[in-house]
Amino acid sequence: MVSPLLLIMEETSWITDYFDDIGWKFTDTSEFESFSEISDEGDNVNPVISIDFLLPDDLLERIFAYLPIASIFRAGCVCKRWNEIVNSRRLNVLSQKSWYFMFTNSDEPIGYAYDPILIKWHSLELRALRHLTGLLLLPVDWSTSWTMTVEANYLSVTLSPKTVRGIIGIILF
Amino acid sequence: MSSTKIFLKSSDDKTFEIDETAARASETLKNIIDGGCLDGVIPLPNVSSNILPKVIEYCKKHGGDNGSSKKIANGGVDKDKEILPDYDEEEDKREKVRVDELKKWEEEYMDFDQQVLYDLMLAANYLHIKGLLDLTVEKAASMIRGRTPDQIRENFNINSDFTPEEEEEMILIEDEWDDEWAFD
Repeated sequence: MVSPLLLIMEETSWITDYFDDIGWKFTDTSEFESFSEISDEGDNVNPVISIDFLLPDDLLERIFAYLPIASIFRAGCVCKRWNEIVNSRRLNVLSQKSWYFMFTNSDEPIGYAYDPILIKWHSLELRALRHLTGLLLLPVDWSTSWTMTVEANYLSVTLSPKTVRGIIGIILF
Repeated sequence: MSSTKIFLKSSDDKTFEIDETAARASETLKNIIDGGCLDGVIPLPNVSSNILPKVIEYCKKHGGDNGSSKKIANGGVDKDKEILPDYDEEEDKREKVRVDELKKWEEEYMDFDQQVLYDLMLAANYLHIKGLLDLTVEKAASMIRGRTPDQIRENFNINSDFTPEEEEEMILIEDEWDDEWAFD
Protein backbone atom coordinates (compact mmCIF):
# COMPACT_ATOMS: atom_id res chain seq x y z
CA MET A 1 0.00 0.00 0.00
CA VAL A 2 1.26 3.40 -0.86
CA SER A 3 0.56 6.48 1.17
CA PRO A 4 1.74 9.49 -0.71
CA LEU A 5 3.11 12.56 0.89
CA LEU A 6 2.60 15.42 -1.43
CA LEU A 7 4.19 18.76 -0.89
CA ILE A 8 2.89 21.59 -3.00
CA MET A 9 4.91 24.73 -3.12
CA GLU A 10 2.79 27.68 -4.13
CA GLU A 11 5.85 29.52 -5.21
CA THR A 12 8.76 27.86 -6.84
CA SER A 13 11.29 27.18 -4.17
CA TRP A 14 14.83 26.07 -4.12
CA ILE A 15 16.17 23.54 -1.69
CA THR A 16 18.97 25.15 0.17
CA ASP A 17 19.86 22.69 2.84
CA TYR A 18 20.32 19.18 1.81
CA PHE A 19 19.07 15.84 2.93
CA ASP A 20 20.69 14.41 5.99
CA ASP A 21 20.21 11.38 8.19
CA ILE A 22 17.28 12.65 10.18
CA GLY A 23 15.17 14.20 7.49
CA TRP A 24 15.31 17.07 5.18
CA LYS A 25 14.85 20.71 5.45
CA PHE A 26 14.51 23.94 3.56
CA THR A 27 16.25 26.97 4.93
CA ASP A 28 17.14 30.39 3.79
CA THR A 29 20.63 31.43 3.08
CA SER A 30 21.89 34.86 3.80
CA GLU A 31 22.25 37.43 1.10
CA PHE A 32 25.21 36.87 -1.08
CA GLU A 33 28.16 39.13 -1.33
CA SER A 34 28.08 42.08 -3.65
CA PHE A 35 29.46 42.12 -7.11
CA SER A 36 32.19 44.53 -6.13
CA GLU A 37 33.61 42.05 -3.65
CA ILE A 38 33.74 39.46 -6.36
CA SER A 39 35.44 41.91 -8.68
CA ASP A 40 38.25 42.17 -6.17
CA GLU A 41 39.20 38.65 -7.12
CA GLY A 42 39.69 39.78 -10.69
CA ASP A 43 43.40 39.06 -10.62
CA ASN A 44 42.78 35.38 -10.09
CA VAL A 45 40.29 35.08 -12.90
CA ASN A 46 41.49 33.47 -16.04
CA PRO A 47 41.88 36.13 -18.77
CA VAL A 48 39.43 34.23 -20.98
CA ILE A 49 35.93 35.70 -20.63
CA SER A 50 33.91 34.24 -17.82
CA ILE A 51 30.16 34.53 -17.48
CA ASP A 52 30.65 34.50 -13.74
CA PHE A 53 32.92 37.51 -13.79
CA LEU A 54 30.94 39.62 -16.23
CA LEU A 55 27.35 39.20 -15.20
CA PRO A 56 25.81 40.74 -12.09
CA ASP A 57 23.71 38.63 -9.76
CA ASP A 58 20.37 39.75 -11.12
CA LEU A 59 21.22 38.57 -14.62
CA LEU A 60 22.51 35.22 -13.37
CA GLU A 61 19.24 34.88 -11.45
CA ARG A 62 17.31 35.54 -14.63
CA ILE A 63 19.30 32.86 -16.41
CA PHE A 64 18.73 30.31 -13.63
CA ALA A 65 15.02 31.08 -13.66
CA TYR A 66 14.90 29.64 -17.18
CA LEU A 67 16.29 26.28 -16.06
CA PRO A 68 14.47 23.09 -15.11
CA ILE A 69 14.95 22.12 -11.47
CA ALA A 70 17.60 19.44 -12.01
CA SER A 71 19.72 21.95 -13.91
CA ILE A 72 19.21 24.59 -11.24
CA PHE A 73 20.49 22.29 -8.52
CA ARG A 74 23.46 21.27 -10.62
CA ALA A 75 24.20 24.93 -11.41
CA GLY A 76 24.31 25.44 -7.64
CA CYS A 77 27.23 22.98 -7.52
CA VAL A 78 29.39 25.05 -9.87
CA CYS A 79 30.86 27.56 -7.43
CA LYS A 80 30.05 29.41 -4.22
CA ARG A 81 28.51 32.43 -5.89
CA TRP A 82 26.21 30.35 -8.08
CA ASN A 83 25.28 28.28 -5.05
CA GLU A 84 24.24 31.39 -3.19
CA ILE A 85 22.24 32.72 -6.12
CA VAL A 86 20.47 29.41 -6.64
CA ASN A 87 19.55 29.47 -2.98
CA SER A 88 18.55 33.10 -2.89
CA ARG A 89 14.94 33.98 -2.26
CA ARG A 90 14.93 36.35 -5.18
CA LEU A 91 14.95 33.52 -7.71
CA ASN A 92 11.42 32.90 -6.56
CA VAL A 93 10.21 36.19 -7.92
CA LEU A 94 11.35 35.37 -11.42
CA SER A 95 10.15 31.82 -11.76
CA GLN A 96 6.59 31.22 -12.71
CA LYS A 97 5.69 27.64 -12.02
CA SER A 98 5.16 25.55 -8.93
CA TRP A 99 6.99 22.34 -8.27
CA TYR A 100 5.52 19.20 -6.87
CA PHE A 101 7.25 16.69 -4.69
CA MET A 102 5.81 13.30 -3.98
CA PHE A 103 7.07 10.68 -1.60
CA THR A 104 5.67 7.22 -1.29
CA ASN A 105 5.33 5.06 1.78
CA SER A 106 7.94 2.48 1.09
CA ASP A 107 11.08 1.07 2.59
CA GLU A 108 12.92 2.51 -0.35
CA PRO A 109 13.83 6.11 0.36
CA ILE A 110 12.70 7.32 -3.01
CA GLY A 111 10.72 10.37 -3.92
CA TYR A 112 9.62 12.11 -7.06
CA ALA A 113 9.76 15.71 -8.08
CA TYR A 114 7.57 17.05 -10.85
CA ASP A 115 9.14 19.60 -13.10
CA PRO A 116 6.41 21.74 -14.70
CA ILE A 117 8.81 23.30 -17.18
CA LEU A 118 9.88 20.03 -18.76
CA ILE A 119 6.59 18.33 -17.82
CA LYS A 120 8.51 15.40 -16.41
CA TRP A 121 8.87 13.52 -13.18
CA HIS A 122 12.28 13.30 -11.66
CA SER A 123 13.18 10.52 -9.31
CA LEU A 124 14.94 11.43 -6.10
CA GLU A 125 16.72 9.16 -3.77
CA LEU A 126 16.19 10.60 -0.37
CA ARG A 127 18.34 8.77 2.06
CA ALA A 128 16.43 10.17 4.96
CA LEU A 129 12.83 9.63 3.99
CA ARG A 130 11.46 6.34 5.21
CA HIS A 131 8.23 5.01 6.62
CA LEU A 132 6.16 7.96 5.59
CA THR A 133 2.48 7.89 6.31
CA GLY A 134 0.44 10.85 5.35
CA LEU A 135 -0.52 13.58 3.02
CA LEU A 136 0.77 17.04 3.52
CA LEU A 137 -0.23 20.05 1.46
CA LEU A 138 1.62 23.25 2.10
CA PRO A 139 1.75 26.49 0.21
CA VAL A 140 5.19 27.63 1.16
CA ASP A 141 6.53 31.10 0.75
CA TRP A 142 10.07 31.10 -0.47
CA SER A 143 11.08 33.29 2.41
CA THR A 144 10.16 30.33 4.53
CA SER A 145 12.44 28.59 6.87
CA TRP A 146 11.05 25.26 7.84
CA THR A 147 12.20 21.79 8.59
CA MET A 148 10.58 18.42 8.38
CA THR A 149 11.91 15.38 10.08
CA VAL A 150 10.71 11.90 9.47
CA GLU A 151 11.28 8.87 11.60
CA ALA A 152 9.63 5.47 11.68
CA ASN A 153 5.86 6.06 11.68
CA TYR A 154 6.41 9.54 12.93
CA LEU A 155 6.25 12.74 10.99
CA SER A 156 7.27 16.00 12.49
CA VAL A 157 7.03 19.30 10.71
CA THR A 158 8.55 22.39 12.22
CA LEU A 159 7.33 25.61 10.72
CA SER A 160 8.55 29.06 11.36
CA PRO A 161 5.35 31.14 11.81
CA LYS A 162 6.43 34.24 9.98
CA THR A 163 7.49 32.35 6.95
CA VAL A 164 4.61 30.05 6.10
CA ARG A 165 1.63 31.80 4.59
CA GLY A 166 -0.86 29.12 5.37
CA ILE A 167 -1.33 25.41 5.46
CA ILE A 168 -3.95 24.00 3.12
CA GLY A 169 -4.19 20.83 5.10
CA ILE A 170 -2.41 17.94 6.65
CA ILE A 171 -4.03 14.56 6.39
CA LEU A 172 -2.37 11.77 8.29
CA PHE A 173 -3.51 8.20 8.02
CA MET B 1 4.86 58.03 -35.51
CA SER B 2 7.02 59.82 -38.03
CA SER B 3 10.56 58.83 -38.83
CA THR B 4 12.18 61.21 -36.39
CA LYS B 5 15.84 60.37 -36.03
CA ILE B 6 17.52 59.90 -32.72
CA PHE B 7 21.24 59.83 -32.12
CA LEU B 8 22.87 57.49 -29.62
CA LYS B 9 26.44 57.89 -28.46
CA SER B 10 28.35 54.78 -27.40
CA SER B 11 30.77 54.59 -24.45
CA ASP B 12 33.67 55.05 -26.85
CA ASP B 13 32.16 58.25 -28.31
CA LYS B 14 30.77 56.93 -31.57
CA THR B 15 27.38 58.18 -32.69
CA PHE B 16 24.69 56.00 -34.21
CA GLU B 17 21.38 56.94 -35.76
CA ILE B 18 18.08 55.20 -35.01
CA ASP B 19 14.42 55.89 -35.87
CA GLU B 20 12.35 57.06 -32.94
CA THR B 21 9.87 54.22 -33.53
CA ALA B 22 12.68 51.66 -33.26
CA ALA B 23 14.22 53.40 -30.23
CA ARG B 24 10.91 53.01 -28.40
CA ALA B 25 11.60 49.26 -28.17
CA SER B 26 13.87 50.32 -25.30
CA GLU B 27 12.01 51.44 -22.18
CA THR B 28 14.99 53.53 -21.16
CA LEU B 29 15.12 55.38 -24.48
CA LYS B 30 11.34 55.67 -24.57
CA ASN B 31 11.39 57.44 -21.21
CA ILE B 32 14.12 59.79 -22.36
CA ILE B 33 12.19 60.57 -25.57
CA ASP B 34 8.92 61.09 -23.70
CA GLY B 35 10.76 63.22 -21.19
CA GLY B 36 11.50 65.62 -23.99
CA CYS B 37 15.28 65.40 -23.91
CA LEU B 38 15.59 64.97 -27.63
CA ASP B 39 17.91 67.85 -28.33
CA GLY B 40 21.14 66.42 -29.52
CA VAL B 41 22.51 63.02 -28.67
CA ILE B 42 21.61 60.46 -26.02
CA PRO B 43 24.82 59.24 -24.38
CA LEU B 44 24.95 55.54 -23.47
CA PRO B 45 28.04 55.21 -21.26
CA ASN B 46 27.41 51.50 -20.67
CA VAL B 47 27.17 50.39 -24.28
CA SER B 48 30.20 50.14 -26.55
CA SER B 49 30.29 50.73 -30.30
CA ASN B 50 30.78 46.98 -30.81
CA ILE B 51 27.41 46.22 -29.31
CA LEU B 52 25.29 49.28 -30.06
CA PRO B 53 24.73 48.45 -33.77
CA LYS B 54 23.58 44.99 -32.70
CA VAL B 55 21.14 46.55 -30.26
CA ILE B 56 19.89 48.97 -32.92
CA GLU B 57 19.40 46.06 -35.32
CA TYR B 58 17.15 44.38 -32.77
CA CYS B 59 15.19 47.57 -32.12
CA LYS B 60 14.66 48.14 -35.84
CA LYS B 61 13.26 44.65 -36.21
CA HIS B 62 10.99 45.00 -33.24
CA GLY B 63 10.03 48.66 -33.40
CA GLY B 64 6.76 48.81 -31.52
CA ASP B 65 6.05 45.22 -30.51
CA ASN B 66 9.04 44.62 -28.23
CA GLY B 67 8.51 40.90 -27.93
CA SER B 68 10.27 37.69 -28.82
CA SER B 69 8.88 35.22 -31.32
CA LYS B 70 7.61 33.12 -28.45
CA LYS B 71 5.62 35.97 -26.93
CA ILE B 72 4.03 36.85 -30.22
CA ALA B 73 3.25 33.20 -30.83
CA ASN B 74 1.56 32.88 -27.44
CA GLY B 75 -0.15 36.22 -27.30
CA GLY B 76 -1.00 36.57 -30.96
CA VAL B 77 -2.10 33.12 -32.01
CA ASP B 78 -3.12 30.81 -29.17
CA LYS B 79 -4.98 33.27 -27.01
CA ASP B 80 -6.93 34.72 -29.91
CA LYS B 81 -8.00 31.25 -30.83
CA GLU B 82 -9.66 30.85 -27.46
CA ILE B 83 -11.11 34.30 -27.14
CA LEU B 84 -12.45 35.07 -30.58
CA PRO B 85 -15.55 33.10 -31.59
CA ASP B 86 -15.25 33.86 -35.31
CA TYR B 87 -11.70 32.75 -35.60
CA ASP B 88 -10.01 33.72 -38.86
CA GLU B 89 -8.02 30.83 -40.26
CA GLU B 90 -6.32 32.96 -42.90
CA GLU B 91 -5.20 35.43 -40.28
CA ASP B 92 -3.88 32.53 -38.21
CA LYS B 93 -1.81 31.32 -41.16
CA ARG B 94 -0.38 34.78 -41.77
CA GLU B 95 0.46 35.07 -38.11
CA LYS B 96 2.24 31.72 -38.16
CA VAL B 97 4.29 32.76 -41.18
CA ARG B 98 5.22 35.96 -39.37
CA VAL B 99 6.25 34.07 -36.23
CA ASP B 100 8.28 31.55 -38.25
CA GLU B 101 10.00 34.36 -40.09
CA LEU B 102 10.80 36.10 -36.81
CA LYS B 103 12.15 32.90 -35.28
CA LYS B 104 14.44 32.44 -38.25
CA TRP B 105 15.60 36.03 -37.92
CA GLU B 106 16.25 35.57 -34.20
CA GLU B 107 18.25 32.42 -34.89
CA GLU B 108 20.53 34.26 -37.28
CA TYR B 109 20.67 37.33 -35.09
CA MET B 110 21.70 35.28 -32.05
CA ASP B 111 24.61 33.58 -33.79
CA PHE B 112 27.60 35.06 -31.95
CA ASP B 113 30.20 34.16 -29.33
CA GLN B 114 29.92 34.26 -25.55
CA GLN B 115 31.49 37.70 -25.16
CA VAL B 116 28.89 39.29 -27.43
CA LEU B 117 26.16 37.38 -25.60
CA TYR B 118 27.14 38.89 -22.23
CA ASP B 119 27.61 42.39 -23.63
CA LEU B 120 24.27 42.23 -25.41
CA MET B 121 22.55 40.93 -22.28
CA LEU B 122 24.04 43.75 -20.22
CA ALA B 123 23.01 46.32 -22.85
CA ALA B 124 19.46 44.91 -23.05
CA ASN B 125 19.26 45.04 -19.28
CA TYR B 126 20.55 48.60 -19.13
CA LEU B 127 18.28 49.82 -21.94
CA HIS B 128 15.30 47.77 -20.71
CA ILE B 129 14.66 45.94 -23.94
CA LYS B 130 12.61 43.06 -22.57
CA GLY B 131 12.49 40.94 -25.73
CA LEU B 132 16.25 41.12 -26.27
CA LEU B 133 16.94 40.43 -22.61
CA ASP B 134 14.70 37.33 -22.75
CA LEU B 135 16.47 36.12 -25.89
CA THR B 136 19.97 36.49 -24.47
CA VAL B 137 19.06 35.07 -21.07
CA GLU B 138 17.39 32.09 -22.67
CA LYS B 139 20.46 31.46 -24.81
CA ALA B 140 22.71 31.52 -21.74
CA ALA B 141 20.31 29.16 -19.96
CA SER B 142 20.47 26.75 -22.89
CA MET B 143 24.24 26.60 -22.34
CA ILE B 144 23.69 25.43 -18.74
CA ARG B 145 20.67 23.18 -19.22
CA GLY B 146 21.37 19.46 -19.01
CA ARG B 147 25.07 19.93 -18.23
CA THR B 148 27.06 18.67 -15.27
CA PRO B 149 28.76 21.22 -12.98
CA ASP B 150 32.11 20.22 -14.50
CA GLN B 151 30.86 20.85 -18.00
CA ILE B 152 29.37 24.18 -16.93
CA ARG B 153 32.66 25.27 -15.34
CA GLU B 154 34.52 24.36 -18.48
CA ASN B 155 31.95 26.04 -20.73
CA PHE B 156 31.93 29.28 -18.81
CA ASN B 157 35.47 29.27 -17.54
CA ILE B 158 34.60 29.19 -13.85
CA ASN B 159 36.79 27.74 -11.11
CA SER B 160 35.22 25.83 -8.26
CA ASP B 161 35.95 27.64 -4.99
CA PHE B 162 34.33 25.12 -2.63
CA THR B 163 36.25 23.69 0.28
CA PRO B 164 36.94 19.92 0.02
CA GLU B 165 34.08 19.29 2.48
CA GLU B 166 31.67 21.42 0.47
CA GLU B 167 32.87 19.76 -2.70
CA GLU B 168 31.87 16.37 -1.28
CA GLU B 169 28.44 17.71 -0.47
CA MET B 170 28.11 19.13 -3.98
CA ILE B 171 28.93 15.75 -5.49
CA LEU B 172 26.10 14.21 -3.46
CA ILE B 173 23.69 16.87 -4.69
CA GLU B 174 24.89 16.45 -8.23
CA ASP B 175 24.25 12.70 -8.04
CA GLU B 176 20.82 13.35 -6.61
CA TRP B 177 19.91 15.55 -9.54
CA ASP B 178 21.29 13.60 -12.44
CA ASP B 179 19.37 13.39 -15.65
CA GLU B 180 17.57 10.13 -15.03
CA TRP B 181 13.91 10.81 -15.16
CA ALA B 182 11.38 8.58 -13.50
CA PHE B 183 8.78 9.07 -16.17
CA ASP B 184 8.50 10.83 -19.46
